[in-house]
Amino acid sequence: MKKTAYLAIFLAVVCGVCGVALAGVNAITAPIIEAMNSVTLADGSYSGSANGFGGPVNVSFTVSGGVITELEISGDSETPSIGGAAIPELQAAILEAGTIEGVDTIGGATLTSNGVFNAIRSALDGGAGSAPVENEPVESEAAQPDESETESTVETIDMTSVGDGSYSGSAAGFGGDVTVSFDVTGGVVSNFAVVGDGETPEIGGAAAESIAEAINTQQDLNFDAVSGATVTSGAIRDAIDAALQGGNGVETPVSDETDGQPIALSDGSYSGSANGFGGEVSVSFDVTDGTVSNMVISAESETPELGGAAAESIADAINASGSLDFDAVSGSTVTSTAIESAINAALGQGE
Amino acid sequence: MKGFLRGIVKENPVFVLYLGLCSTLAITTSINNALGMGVCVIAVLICSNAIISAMRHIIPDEIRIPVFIVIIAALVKCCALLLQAYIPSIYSAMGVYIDLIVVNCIVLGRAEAFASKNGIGASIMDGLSMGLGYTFALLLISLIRQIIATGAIALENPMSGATIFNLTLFPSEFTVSMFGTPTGAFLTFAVVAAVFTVWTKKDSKKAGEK
Repeated sequence: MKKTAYLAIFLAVVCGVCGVALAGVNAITAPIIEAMNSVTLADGSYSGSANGFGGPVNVSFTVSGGVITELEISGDSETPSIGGAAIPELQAAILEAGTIEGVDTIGGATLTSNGVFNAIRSALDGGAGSAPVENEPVESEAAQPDESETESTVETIDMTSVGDGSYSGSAAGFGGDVTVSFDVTGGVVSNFAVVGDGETPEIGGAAAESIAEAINTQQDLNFDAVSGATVTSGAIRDAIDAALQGGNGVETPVSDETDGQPIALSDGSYSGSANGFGGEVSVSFDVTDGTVSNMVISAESETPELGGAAAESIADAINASGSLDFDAVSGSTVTSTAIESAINAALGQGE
Repeated sequence: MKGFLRGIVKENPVFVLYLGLCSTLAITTSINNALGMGVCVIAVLICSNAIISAMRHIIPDEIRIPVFIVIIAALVKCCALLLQAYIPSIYSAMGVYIDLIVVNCIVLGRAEAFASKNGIGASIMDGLSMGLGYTFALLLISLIRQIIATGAIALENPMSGATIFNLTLFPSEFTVSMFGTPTGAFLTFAVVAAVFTVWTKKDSKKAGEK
């Protein structure tokens, strides 16, 4: 009996000491954990990403009146039948609650669920790989000066200090490397092209195209980040910086022939290919008496409604004019540039 | 030093002693998780071995297992709270497996088999050695699984989530996503354990011949 009592007391003392130690640790960590879990929902549009089960989970959402009102979740790398299936459920649950506090993870898809929660949190915190994208229209009127402030934090590139030449450079984007190439003549940018096959086509990929278009239109390397594709936008800027640092004034007469000057055509059949937006773009055409015919562009890897449509219209234009000079199709700069490169490659091989 | 290396190769808790397999199979989806889990287990193992070794003369033999479990549980919970507070990304990635360190056979096994019979210094070394052996096993399996399942080796800073390095070995078209699932974990574990057995058997045979 005495022995049993001793054992019970011993165990109780051990439990007591452990309990006190736990209480001590809890006292230190509880405020930090609580601060981390509470979310303050400031009005605005946000986007962010975090790791789910198989890769990044991206969210973009709108907060108005302190409640999440619109929410888009994309997690292409999640197991379709598990994490993929959980995404609509989560979306509904979060929209119903208006916040992520108290929303449970979906059973069997804990990592995907946590990925979504973390992505939303990181977006709200403005943490790594995310940023509050734009303010609500109501707020932005008052917040006009703020916006210009945030822009000025990005270093402006002084175009007058950029020497003439062809540049190219790359930097890590959202899903892989983003490569830019462009020509500078007298401080004016032309032929700006972005290749970022690793970017999500409908987000970063679309952003890359619109940035390339903006740069080609403004003929200036300074551009605004595209909302929802902050990482890709940043990568393009980094790639430009890398190009400016690396390729200072290196003259590469790659595209000089095609710039405005007619291409000398000898008769024959030509074919060539180059990398476009989503993959390889190949061209084939015949030249008879200096006139181009049978221009066929195959661009199956390009986004059908953008690059694919552009390839068709460029092929039509070339067949109609009988000349290889064509205007780049806006919105499909990368594909257009690729077609130009493919034609150059074809001419190079034909000779 | 010999005793130290023993836990990593000859008595590797995972590949040779087959301890702590549940968490090994579950957590080895990425190098990041493996590292996080490994560091947690090392910390818990060293502390539990030290405390249990220090108390080995006063713990009554009849209730040693409950006492071990209470001590280990308290240490694991402390570890989990600290992780949740300071490295939340690892905490959320490992989820329930942090708490399950409590029932990780390695921790209780070393407490029972080593710490309750040896001095504090030796027990701490044993904890470090076994913990490193476990971490090594996790890293090896997760490296193989991550490469086959994603075609890349990626490591992130757990504090900021920033990518430390991301090396793509082959394009994603050639990845086998099954290796990201527990099935892949079993297969990888079986193959690595078999190789390990062949290797350690050869070693001991040689030693026997001498």
